[in-house]
Amino acid sequence: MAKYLKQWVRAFGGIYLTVFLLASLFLLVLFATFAQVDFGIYEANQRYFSSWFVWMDSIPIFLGGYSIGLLLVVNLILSHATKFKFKFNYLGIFLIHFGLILLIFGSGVTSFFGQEMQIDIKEKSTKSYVIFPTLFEFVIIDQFSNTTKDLLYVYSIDQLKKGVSFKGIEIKLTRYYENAIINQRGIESLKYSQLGQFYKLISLPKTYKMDERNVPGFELSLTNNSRLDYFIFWGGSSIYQELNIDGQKYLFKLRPKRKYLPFSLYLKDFVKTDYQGTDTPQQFISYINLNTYEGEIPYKIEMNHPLRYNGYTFFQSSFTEDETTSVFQVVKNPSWQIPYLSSLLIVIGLFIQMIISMKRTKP
Amino acid sequence: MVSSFLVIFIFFLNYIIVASEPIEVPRESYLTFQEFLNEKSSDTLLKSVPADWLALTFKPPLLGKYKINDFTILSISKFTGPIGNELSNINRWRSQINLDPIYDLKKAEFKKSSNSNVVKREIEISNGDRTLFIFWITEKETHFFVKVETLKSFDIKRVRPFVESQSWQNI
Repeated sequence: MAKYLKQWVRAFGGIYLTVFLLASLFLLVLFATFAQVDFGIYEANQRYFSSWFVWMDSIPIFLGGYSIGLLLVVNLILSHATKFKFKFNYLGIFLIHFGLILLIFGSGVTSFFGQEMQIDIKEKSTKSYVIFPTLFEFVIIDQFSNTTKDLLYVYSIDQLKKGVSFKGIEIKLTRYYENAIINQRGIESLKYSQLGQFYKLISLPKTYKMDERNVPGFELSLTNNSRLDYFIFWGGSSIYQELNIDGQKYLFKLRPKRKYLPFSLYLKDFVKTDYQGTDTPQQFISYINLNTYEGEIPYKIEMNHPLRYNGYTFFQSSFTEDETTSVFQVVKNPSWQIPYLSSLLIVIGLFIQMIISMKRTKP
Repeated sequence: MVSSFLVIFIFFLNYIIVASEPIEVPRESYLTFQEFLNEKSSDTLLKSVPADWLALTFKPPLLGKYKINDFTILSISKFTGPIGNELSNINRWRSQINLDPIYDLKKAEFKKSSNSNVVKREIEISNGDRTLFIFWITEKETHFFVKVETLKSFDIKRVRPFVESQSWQNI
């Protein structure tokens, strides 16, 4: 048993695996670069790097970024554990390798736990949630049970596909479009209630363009005792449809996934200045008030000058045409310091190794 | 034995999904379907749009724009006040399909009808490749133009019920 274990450890810590993994990584980057022409950066990143395998239909055809990263970390650790003995002369190499392990580990943490969100705030208004523009959720809102807060029931599309039960009503997704638009019906449809009566969903091919996004739509059946109702929902609609259960009114909607923050942002003013004589923005600045438990903190967010608070970073991203709404990219990355630390370790390691080598080669 | 139960339990858990626990969030005002309907009914007008017409986006002065088929687009616009005489409007449409202006109205006469305060004019202009069917509806000082532009032969009878069914006075 111990003999087999040693063989495995040797194989996984061997230079052949290192070369194989680095070559695989090279090919993966190459394939992903080609793929992004058709799929766009986000989708190519998901398919090639943020996955354990690269799939063709349902067959894995190549190692994904996660697998290569994990195997590289295992390979580095095992090669150090089995082949290297710590000596001062190898301090630089140890630091370089440790920096590399940390870098790959940090990338993994970012990929699994990092979140990219968005928030748009109109001047003189407050917002306390961010949205995930590419993710959607189905919400049922109770505005009447509580006098000061809304009660929110959140369901994922996968849950709806399996069917959910809400206050005795069976809700089931009957048709789903990954990308759709909504269009006015010529003749009212009596099959559907509310929005579906006047509007229909039209399926669109999935888009991979950087400046477009897929907005899903679906049809739901609601069964209450023997009564069956059909509704349509579209992720881009601003309309909340109404649901009446035993005299109690609820609102329900498909909308971009939200994350509520433990603080809120108030946009006092948005200022955009253009290069003289052109419409090209020179800079745009958002003057905000950060409302926290500790009180109100005024802050100025501009390009390359983000707001960092409570693990969130708010980058000034864009604005609406009428220049009254400011849009921020919001990032929450628990390992944002790791790349700096690992790069520092690698630089120190290289520097130490260079000095050691210079000393060694002195006549 | 225990693991078998666990597997069966997880299997069923996957299918038995009940209402999730509610989350308390700050109160917001939402646009409800009823409010949307009220808003819509206060500023809309066009009715009896056939089911197979695809609504397209439009900007004022258009009131609506529809794709009737792959070769035919219908648009409805509204103007108030002086908009020129019949000849100048005919020449405006002729220029849209690269036809020379005419100077005699008899060369392109409107079919006219009137009902109470509403005057309806209808005309067909073609350059061989593109054809315009125009319905010009005048209600006092307000003018509506229903323009059907087609690249193939098109039976305008398909559009007439739509034009006839509108309450132009209320738009």
